[in-house]
Amino acid sequence: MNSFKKILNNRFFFPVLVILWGIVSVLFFEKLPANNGLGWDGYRYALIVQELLLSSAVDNYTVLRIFPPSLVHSILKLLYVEPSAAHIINSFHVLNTLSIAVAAFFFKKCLAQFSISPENQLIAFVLLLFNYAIANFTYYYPVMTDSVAFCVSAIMLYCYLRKQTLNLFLLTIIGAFTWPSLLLQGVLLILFPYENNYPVKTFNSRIRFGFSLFSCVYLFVLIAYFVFYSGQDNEVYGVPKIDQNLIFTSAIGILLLFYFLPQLLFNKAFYYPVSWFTKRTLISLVTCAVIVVIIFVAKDWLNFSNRQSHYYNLQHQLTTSMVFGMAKPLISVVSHSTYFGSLFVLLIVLWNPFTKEVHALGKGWAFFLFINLFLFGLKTESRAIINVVPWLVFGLTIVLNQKPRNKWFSLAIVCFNILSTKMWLSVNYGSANGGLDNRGAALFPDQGFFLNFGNRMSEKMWLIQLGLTIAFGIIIYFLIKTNEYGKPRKL
Amino acid sequence: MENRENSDKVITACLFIIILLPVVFLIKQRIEQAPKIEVTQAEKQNPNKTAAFNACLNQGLEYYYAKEYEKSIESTKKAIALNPKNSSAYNNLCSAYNELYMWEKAIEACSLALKIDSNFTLAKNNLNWAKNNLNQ
Repeated sequence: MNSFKKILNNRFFFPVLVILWGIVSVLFFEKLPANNGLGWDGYRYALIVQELLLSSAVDNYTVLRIFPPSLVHSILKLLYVEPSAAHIINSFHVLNTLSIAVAAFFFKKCLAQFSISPENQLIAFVLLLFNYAIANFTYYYPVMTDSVAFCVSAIMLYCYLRKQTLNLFLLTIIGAFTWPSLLLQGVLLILFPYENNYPVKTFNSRIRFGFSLFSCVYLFVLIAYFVFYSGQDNEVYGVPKIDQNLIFTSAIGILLLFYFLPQLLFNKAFYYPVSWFTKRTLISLVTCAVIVVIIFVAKDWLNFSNRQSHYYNLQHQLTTSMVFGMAKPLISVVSHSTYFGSLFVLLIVLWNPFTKEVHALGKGWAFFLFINLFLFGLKTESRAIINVVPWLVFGLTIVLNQKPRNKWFSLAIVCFNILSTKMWLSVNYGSANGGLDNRGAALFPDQGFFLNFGNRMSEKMWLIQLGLTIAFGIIIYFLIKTNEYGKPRKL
Repeated sequence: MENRENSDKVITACLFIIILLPVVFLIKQRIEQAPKIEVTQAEKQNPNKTAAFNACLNQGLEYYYAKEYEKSIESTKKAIALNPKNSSAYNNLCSAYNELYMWEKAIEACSLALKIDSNFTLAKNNLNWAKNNLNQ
């Protein structure tokens, strides 16, 4: 047992495990057949790998994802390797595996800084890595920027906790050209650096209700305007339209989520004027200003042909988030559970202690989590929030570490994550022969892939996965309650 | 403490290298490919035509991603009509034909893409893909 703990405590254990998993996945697991293995977004990134700025794929949206394909381009050039589709796919396989291994390395260092027990470290790594997003999708559909974003975010976590402003600055530059929301993340983390022993003072119930009400009103206005007034709906082939029979249940579901979300901000100490103007404020402000200038100048310089994409549009982002989130009741939660495993169910069940932990980690952390989840949390294409995953897992691990360990609790998490990886299910995107169901979702074999994305889930898959998520939530809830998890036992 | 500072410096150095690597290539391309970029910028002087071309090409791509290949072909053809010297448009046309198993048309489109840009690797791959399937 002790030697097992020793192995777990080795900082290279999880990165090596990731590399081994990467090799096995690349050699033996299924690969996306669409577009010669490049996929859809991947096809654009492949064009950038081949021609960099001269590629027709460069526009004001893809330019904010240009870092990983440019890095692959540079490495292939240095190695005199022709950028064929096969070489691009293999390069992304290597890049993804290394990114996740590096993320695991830094994540482990963060866990060590907070003296997390080896058992809870293991749970943390199961939550972080053993889910569909990291263990399966990364290798199934490699030509993407998700893994690099995940890695940048994990290193940001390490640098934030170590108060390394210069490294956060560099990571924000990389992040802004890998995953647009990493720009916002980096700026907030630089503006509000980590402080040890951050004071925690809760608001009174009226102010707390005010925050929650404001959040719900914002969402309600968006729903009323986009869904009820403008009649926006999904128009993309294979994406089912909003279920009009369940529209009010869907609205109540997301309003409930938005009612509890502002709890992340319920620390009075965040708003003390003195905490906003410290010695470091000026340095942080200047650093952020430099980042913003660099990014805006570079963005236009790189997109010299001034191609515009409709993705790079606030209304598009808001409506897709809203309309997809309204498609079926709790579709966002179902989608996140399907994609990231037990993480989101645990967050819902342990939301109170989790937010209290976030309050103690400072306002940079709290503001960045809140804004990311507020803007993109409803997106049923759960990939959109992959950058917040290391931070959510870390906060949750601190919560779990303060509670007595329960083997059934850990077992339930592991089982749900094994289920969510879909390693046991053929994900292979079939062909156009699958057809659509009566609501417009692709059927099997296509659904083997699309059931992992809320916006493309068929009704049957949504129901099954909703059932599993709720069942897992109930199990976790009772394991916490009935085993008095985290509470002293009565004699 | 000293170890920690050293490790911070190592991270900074690695991040600098990782940033510099693509930046060098991007700057190099901007300088070396200046004439091509000027052509593209000259297109900007005729913004209506360029915008229409981009719109058609992007619409073609959207249809392609949505698996509506026939509509994708239609839009891409419109783009080609506006700018018959764009290799990517022919390549996109080839990709859509490939998805519809129309190998001969795909070969024709990719051959045109390669006539414009003989180094266009993706077009070469798509052409080979179509040729291999046609031979089967």
